Amino acid sequence: MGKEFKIDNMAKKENFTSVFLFFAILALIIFTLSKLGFLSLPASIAQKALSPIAGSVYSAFNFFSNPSKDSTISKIKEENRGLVKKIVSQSVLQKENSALADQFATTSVRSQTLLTAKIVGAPSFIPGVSNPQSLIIDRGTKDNVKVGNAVIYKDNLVGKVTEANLYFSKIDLITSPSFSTTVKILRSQAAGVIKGKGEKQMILDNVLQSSDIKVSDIILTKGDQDIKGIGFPPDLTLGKLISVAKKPSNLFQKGEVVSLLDFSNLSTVFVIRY
Amino acid sequence: MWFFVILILILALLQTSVTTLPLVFLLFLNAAVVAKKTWIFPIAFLTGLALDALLLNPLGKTSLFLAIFLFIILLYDKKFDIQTFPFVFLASFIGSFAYFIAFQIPNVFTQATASAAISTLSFWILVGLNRFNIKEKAGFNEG
Repeated sequence: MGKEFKIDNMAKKENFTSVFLFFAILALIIFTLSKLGFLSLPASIAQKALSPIAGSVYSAFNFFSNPSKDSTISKIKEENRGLVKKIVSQSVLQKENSALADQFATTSVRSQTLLTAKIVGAPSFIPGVSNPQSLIIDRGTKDNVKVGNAVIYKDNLVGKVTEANLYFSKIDLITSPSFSTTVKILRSQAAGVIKGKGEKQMILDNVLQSSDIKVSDIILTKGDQDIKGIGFPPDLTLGKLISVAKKPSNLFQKGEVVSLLDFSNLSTVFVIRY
Repeated sequence: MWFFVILILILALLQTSVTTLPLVFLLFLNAAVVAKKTWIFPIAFLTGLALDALLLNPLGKTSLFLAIFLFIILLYDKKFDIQTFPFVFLASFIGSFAYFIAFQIPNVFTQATASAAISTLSFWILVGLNRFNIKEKAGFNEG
């Protein structure tokens, strides 16, 4: 009986090696072509096509999770949804307006070089609790956004564009471990290098032992642009120094920095393009 | 089947806009452990492409990762029993760990542990529902 079951079970097992090889090779080819930049247009189109589908799945899910048999109630609920939608769109407009007003009133960056972008995705470990490491914005290469462009909010550096297709771009935040740039201290003009640490902090490193740095010092970008204007302009705020580690045995001083922005609450950012 | 497709869509949507946890990978891991069928590969391939497009990753990266990991799981099934809680926990932990490293997502250990817990919980629900006649194998009726 046991032997019969084993034989039957073995016969049922499928030969998956050839299927795996086919899809693995196909994925590898697509990956290589994508890395070489041959698939940026299909990728943009796929993203443009998939974004509304994802949105309608959300709406459908919400609709089916609250079914109502009474037509009057469903009519009122429908009206209510319409009103809520209006309130939300009005509030979004108000927020955008105030963000634009604030931005163009306070920034030191010329307003002609700024491009308003709405955040459409901000994946984080625990939504609302942990800090996102990257943002996805609704602006792409068709808006002249390029990889390496700086992204700001009220003169505070938010991050850097690391991927851009036709309609959307990905921003690595300044707290992301892949982020690093040269910086200076506002008070003493001491130079250093800042690196993302993950969550809400950054590490200030490579500051000479002779340099004067203190807790609460404001950290600014030193200016890191190339001839095409790609990179970080000088004097954008990165954050505030919250601790300093100065050991005579070490070559450099170190410190921990927190950003003045709450990335999980941002809805609009500005891309600096030239 | 439709339930599976809708679940993939919802989880892909959550993974692209809300959380960094590899929910789609965990779903495919559970599907591979429970169903052990080759149809998982084409679905994983297409879902991977959609995820890459939405997350602005190079196309094919997630598909390749999913294909390799599902292959390893099914290969393991040739020698050992995979429909057990320790296997699901370990496979999802190691898989998520590899995923976070491959996609440069921080807090690798914490997130991999959370992923493994979610995956084991969903496997427990599947076993509890006993839709795939795996209750006994998973050790539910022991003792």
